[in-house]
Amino acid sequence: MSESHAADHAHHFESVEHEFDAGKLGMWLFLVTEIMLFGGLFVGYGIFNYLYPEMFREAHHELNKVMGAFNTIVLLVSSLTMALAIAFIQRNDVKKSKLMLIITFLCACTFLVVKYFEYSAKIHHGLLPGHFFTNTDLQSANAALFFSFYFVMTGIHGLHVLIGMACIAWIYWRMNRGDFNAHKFGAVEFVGLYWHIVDLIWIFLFPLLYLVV
Amino acid sequence: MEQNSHNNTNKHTHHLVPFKVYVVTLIALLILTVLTVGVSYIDFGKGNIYVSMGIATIKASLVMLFFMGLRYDNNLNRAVILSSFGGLAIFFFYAAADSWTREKPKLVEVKAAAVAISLDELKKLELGSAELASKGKEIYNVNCASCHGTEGKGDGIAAAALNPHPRNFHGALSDWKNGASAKAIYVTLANGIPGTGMASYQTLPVADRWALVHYVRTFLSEKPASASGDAKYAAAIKADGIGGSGPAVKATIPIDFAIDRMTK
Repeated sequence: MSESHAADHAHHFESVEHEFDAGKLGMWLFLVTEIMLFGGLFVGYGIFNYLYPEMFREAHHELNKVMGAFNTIVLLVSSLTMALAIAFIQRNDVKKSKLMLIITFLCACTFLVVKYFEYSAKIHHGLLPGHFFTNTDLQSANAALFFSFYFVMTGIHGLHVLIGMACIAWIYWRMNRGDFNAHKFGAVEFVGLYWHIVDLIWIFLFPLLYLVV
Repeated sequence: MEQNSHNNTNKHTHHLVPFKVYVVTLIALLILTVLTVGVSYIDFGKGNIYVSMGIATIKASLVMLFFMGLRYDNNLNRAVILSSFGGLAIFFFYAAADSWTREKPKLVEVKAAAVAISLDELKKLELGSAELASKGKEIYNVNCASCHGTEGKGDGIAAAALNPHPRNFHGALSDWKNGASAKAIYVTLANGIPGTGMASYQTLPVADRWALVHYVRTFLSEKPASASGDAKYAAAIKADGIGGSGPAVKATIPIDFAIDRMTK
């Protein structure tokens, strides 16, 4: 970092700290909208689970608890490594911070690979929602509804995982370039917050889809 | 030492959380994950959802407090993120208040309609005759029209709320799950179609079902090929009076709920 201190922050901020605080507030506000996005799906899930408890009970047995639990653990570990990436950059340890970002990224890949196998099995069993629902093993009427929730909720969550991976890759690239140090690491912190909310949403999705009813 | 370090002085430093805190947080999260999976194998009835949501809330709190650093953040950020849960609570409250104060959908038992035709009468009627079809029409209007529509276009009053929508009998035959031969329609009536609103009508007398098959076939835009197979099947049914029976779908159908939603 040979740049002058003045170039450490955007010109419309007074200081790095000012920029950091503003950015962090913005990130929290964005996360509020994320919670609202998934909140709508959770409410819809709650209403239909209440209306058709027997159908939900039968349909959710199609999901693989072991794969769901495995993915939960993968995401929790990735949350730790993301937090550690920030902790290391706060201590000026760029090398270890980068390592933690790589592990986080690999955890995200693992999550998606497991998800791929789960989706394949569901599609193979004709459990795609709507017109594409061809499964004839489930006895309950309207069982396709459960899988509409399953695919929309895990699909939007999966999209967030992909976006998170792109952000982590971007942060890694910038860290490699020498953009961050103990004094200035706002972007790492904000991507971290995003990654934790992805984990947080899965913490609720897992029991609701795989375990409950 | 746990004071907010984020005041607005230029000299502030970021709070350094010890590594141990992160590791202990992960261990707690993993233990709670094992717990929630374990508990799911025990049946508490309605209690399961409260237990698992309780554990999930504790896990989420740990993630927010320590991984997301809310424990060390300033009050503005805390207020912002907590406001989202306040918003969600309002959302849940009104949705629940609405659902709980409405009547729950009851699954309608499919009951035998008044017998429109006896087996003896059936045996006298010609396969595909207008008389047989007109008997079928009576049964159809009582049992089927609410979903499939009086014209058989799949546009009955309850149709919109059923997923998948009821079959439009005028549409392409290639879409029909069991096919559109008389035998296939008879089997569909007997067994229903799992995973759809189509219930088993095994409770209808055989003769009624057979009359129904012929009425439904009057809607078809094209006639399926295997007419001779149908004739043989009809003969078999006439002979033993049983016809296609197999594992039946539950004879219940969520139509009263659907009608209720459509008409309110």
